[in-house]
Amino acid sequence: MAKVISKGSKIQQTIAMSLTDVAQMVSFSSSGAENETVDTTTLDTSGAGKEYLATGYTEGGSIDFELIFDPALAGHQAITDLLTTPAEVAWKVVFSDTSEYAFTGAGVGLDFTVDMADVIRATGSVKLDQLFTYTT
Amino acid sequence: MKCKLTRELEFRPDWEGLKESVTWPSEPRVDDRGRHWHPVGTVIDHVQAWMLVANLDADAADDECEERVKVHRMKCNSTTDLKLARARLEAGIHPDDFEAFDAGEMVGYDPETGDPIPGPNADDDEDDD
Repeated sequence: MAKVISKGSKIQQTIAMSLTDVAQMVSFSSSGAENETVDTTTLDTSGAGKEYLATGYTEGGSIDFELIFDPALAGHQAITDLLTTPAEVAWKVVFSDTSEYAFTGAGVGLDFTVDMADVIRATGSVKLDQLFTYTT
Repeated sequence: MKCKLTRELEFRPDWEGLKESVTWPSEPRVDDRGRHWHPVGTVIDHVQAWMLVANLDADAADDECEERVKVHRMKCNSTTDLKLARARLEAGIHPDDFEAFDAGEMVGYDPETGDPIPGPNADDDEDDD
């Protein structure tokens, strides 16, 4: 059992037939990965507990991130390029202990913020096509 | 436009257009996790090739790529900053320690204890006899 530190973890994106690091990442997280279930409760269900069944599908969710945004940085331009020319591309989360979660991004989102007394920041997301490939 | 890799980068063998875009100087390495790696010296012919050069993963391999990278560097002039950022990321440096790392006072963290590993410019706090 180990406690894995965050520093050293990274996200990689596909640029020119290669996986390369996304620079200036502040934080990232995954959200929405869950098995899909269907409510099968009926009027004659015994007891108070509601009943659910797995449908056999799983929502892959998305990877959400925050970065210190540099509009001229090549890696950040690669993300805005996906907004102008949508495409499915390979991404990968690499944890500091070298475990990896690879995934295909179906689409991206990117929002930036310009604030007094701060650097330009952006938050974004990558929507998963299917699921992570969980590799440890 | 073309670039030539200066470091190994991972690729997926099933990517569409891979064989048309890539020239390997030697057989790509497959590691024990099944990951495929472009060898150093791989030439990639791709519209985004300049991004790998700007990201310090490759050198320009034709005039078109060279010119595109020049335009990029005129805009951001951040090659030095990017080198530092990549070095920090590779070493897993916490933002609170960026200044110490950039100054050469530390080079990383002990994997067992998490303590900073002194760099070439680290202060010597021990008294001389």
